[in-house]
Amino acid sequence: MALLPHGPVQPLQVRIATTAGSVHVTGDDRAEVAVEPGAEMALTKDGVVEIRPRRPSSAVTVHCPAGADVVVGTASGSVELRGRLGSVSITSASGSIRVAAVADADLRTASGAVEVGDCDQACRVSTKSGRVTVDDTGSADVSTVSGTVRIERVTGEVVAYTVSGGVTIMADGPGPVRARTVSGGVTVRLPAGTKPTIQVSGRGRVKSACEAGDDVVVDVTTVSGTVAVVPC
Amino acid sequence: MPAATATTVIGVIVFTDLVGFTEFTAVSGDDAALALLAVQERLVSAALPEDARVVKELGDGLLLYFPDSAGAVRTGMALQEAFEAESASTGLPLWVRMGMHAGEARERGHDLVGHDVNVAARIVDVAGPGEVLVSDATRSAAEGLVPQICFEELGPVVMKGIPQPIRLWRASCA
Repeated sequence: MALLPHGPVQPLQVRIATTAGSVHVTGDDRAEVAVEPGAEMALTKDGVVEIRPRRPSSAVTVHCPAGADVVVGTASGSVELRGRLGSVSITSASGSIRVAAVADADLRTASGAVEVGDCDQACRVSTKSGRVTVDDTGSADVSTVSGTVRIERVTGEVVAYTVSGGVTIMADGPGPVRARTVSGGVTVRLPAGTKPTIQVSGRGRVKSACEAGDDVVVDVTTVSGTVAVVPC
Repeated sequence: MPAATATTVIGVIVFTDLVGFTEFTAVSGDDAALALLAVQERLVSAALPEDARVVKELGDGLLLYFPDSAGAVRTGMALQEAFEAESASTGLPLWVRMGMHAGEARERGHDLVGHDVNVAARIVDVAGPGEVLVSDATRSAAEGLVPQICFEELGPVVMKGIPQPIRLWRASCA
């Protein structure tokens, strides 16, 4: 089944709502949206392509034009976005989320793992216990209760909250880097030679292996967690 | 036996949750926990408009009622600013998340009960620290009345016990 959307929504938006089945969306060189058997789609008057599984447990597999915006809501199914896509928003209770390359992302899961490849602009991730890895992003806004978060490279502003989980961030840009922790550990890695201004509130320990300066602001609030600022 | 009658209230139900409160209490002790709640109470009391109220306290969270969506969203955003400023100056982890839903509820004494209350309680579960998430019903009623606030769609969100996905929006300062 294929649809050639036209309407006021630019860029194209694909909206998927499911409960238990997995979701696979691929953005590639095409003009139309196509779904594989097991799902049905409809075009709203606003030009949004709405997709649902035929049965609650059916998998949803979608092919859409590269750069399309994608919105997914699911309870427990895993979500995987392949190819290059636009603005994406995924909310899941327990399913895992894997995103290859997007313009910006808002990803939320209670217990599933989250993996992000390249995110051009803002990457917002919220999880309670899931493991989060982000390869490369423009800015990052991440929060976890007990999960671990690892951002391999962020070139802009960073906000990271953790209650008891561990957070590791490689901040390769002007920042600022804001880290908030109750008892979890936060490691901020900076390019060699970077001289940070470290601002601390709270009673936790902050260790810096970097010479102080004004290259980037690292703003830390810690109740009892340890925050380390280290050169790469 | 005649059916129970109860007053129906129309407005916005808001749930708040203090992220990390259990761990903070374990690490810092009961007195520090009480002090943190006292700060939250002070800031909420100062921010609530006259026609809104604290329905009840839920440990570290609150159930609030507002008669209109614009007031709820405006107050929620102002509260987040106040929490952030207080946290920055004191180091206290006032990391609050909020969920809002406009609808109706039945009064049960001072409490509010009903499906729309349950929806609001599920919305706050999706929010991260410092966020205000609102249902489509809330956004629709507030849009145009809060020009300083913009809404970013999260999409259809599937919530435990709620039959249909709820379309959620993230409020932020424009």
